[in-house]
Amino acid sequence: MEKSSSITSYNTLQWIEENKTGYLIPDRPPANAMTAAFFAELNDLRINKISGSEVKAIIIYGRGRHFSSGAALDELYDMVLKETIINTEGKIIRYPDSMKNNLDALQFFNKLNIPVIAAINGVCLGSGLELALHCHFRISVPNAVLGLPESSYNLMPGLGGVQQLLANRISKMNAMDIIFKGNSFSATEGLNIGIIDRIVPKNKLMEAATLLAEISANDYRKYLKPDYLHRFDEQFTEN
Amino acid sequence: MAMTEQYIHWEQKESIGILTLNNPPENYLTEPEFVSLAQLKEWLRDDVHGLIINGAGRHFSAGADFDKIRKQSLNVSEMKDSLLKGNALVNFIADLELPVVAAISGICFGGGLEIALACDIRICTQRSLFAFPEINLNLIPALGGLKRLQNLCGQRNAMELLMRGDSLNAPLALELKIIDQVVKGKDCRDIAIQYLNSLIQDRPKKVIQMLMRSFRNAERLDFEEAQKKDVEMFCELALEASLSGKNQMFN
Repeated sequence: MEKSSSITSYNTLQWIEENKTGYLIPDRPPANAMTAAFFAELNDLRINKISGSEVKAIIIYGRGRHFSSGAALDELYDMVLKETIINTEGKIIRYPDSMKNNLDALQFFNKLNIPVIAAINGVCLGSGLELALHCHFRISVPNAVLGLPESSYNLMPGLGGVQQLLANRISKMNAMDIIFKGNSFSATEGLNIGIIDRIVPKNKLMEAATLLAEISANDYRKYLKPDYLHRFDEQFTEN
Repeated sequence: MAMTEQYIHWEQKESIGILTLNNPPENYLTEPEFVSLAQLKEWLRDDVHGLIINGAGRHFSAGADFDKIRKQSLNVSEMKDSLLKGNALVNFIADLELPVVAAISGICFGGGLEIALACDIRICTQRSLFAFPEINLNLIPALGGLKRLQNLCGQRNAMELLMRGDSLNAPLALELKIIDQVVKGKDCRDIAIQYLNSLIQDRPKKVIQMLMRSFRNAERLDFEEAQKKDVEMFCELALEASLSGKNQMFN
């Protein structure tokens, strides 16, 4: 079969279409921080590229050693200061459009009718984990570092992460542990509480993600998530 | 600081409020509104950042005092009123923008289980027992426990518990996800306090409130609506953090 492949490069991310699979790559190594520019480009990508694209599955992974360390805080504070409108009593009357757009960008992937797979290749924190949680599947390397550290900065997960955690039907105790304590946790812990679907060796991550994409792409949403994972288990070999 | 209403004891340890069902040995609930809602609101001052509910002595609570119910049932409208008050109290606890932990020793039946189910997290001892025995008296749980139980353990298990009225031991309750943690020893109060403390220490009240509101929204709002609210709360916190950061710079 003829291989078709196209690459779209932005400053902070890359989009590759290959064999009807789209690869979305946060591309600011080493940490692949999700800056304002990242979200602007992500929104541009989803509206102008992905929406009209013929890809049948999407795989998201970070360039280099990590998935993403999350938002750039300083920039975020500046944006909130600049865009929030307060009345004379100090009450917020308009929330920053940028934040709403950022949420739209992540929700877009969750709502797609094609499988979206996060291939977590290292550190995946804050809005990085929120992006992964908006994906339909999460495959991780063994030494990934996961977490929602927002509360340690007197913040909370702002891009739907709390709701996504709970939607994965993890226990309230586990969700409260993660969100209140803000500690990072391992892929194994993520697997145990039910937010990581599979852990695979580092050198097999892309192979595993591609296999899962193939398995789930043709009849996605016709079966339940465990059915696709079951088929994945039958076909995937670690060695 | 410690205060006592009849059958209820209140104590505040630093930022944790401790509500104790205090009618030993079984801690029967004499009213569905087992603590006056107005009183509870007064106790929950600004400096309370988390709440523990537990029972005095060996048991959490064996539930309603059925003798009293039997007498009361002669007057249906009076009974309905008192149950509605009980509902309002239990819903108030379930809606609190504070983390609420039930520390359950021994028996946790009927109304006792209704209270425990309204909490966010349930920690119990190995010898704890759980049941909705109402069916044995041809009654049903009236304080919202059925819905809360369903959310935790699913329709089938909830139906079995409700319709059979059987009691569950701690390991089984853990397996059914009705309980979050089973601890060794006779008393889990200290462990519950320690756990709650590990959640809220160093967290400003506002962050705690907004996180809990987000959890509550997950149960009462449409998914995307709840996410939108999260964005707004995040912005409020970020605004505060950035303003206080700026202030620090000027100081």
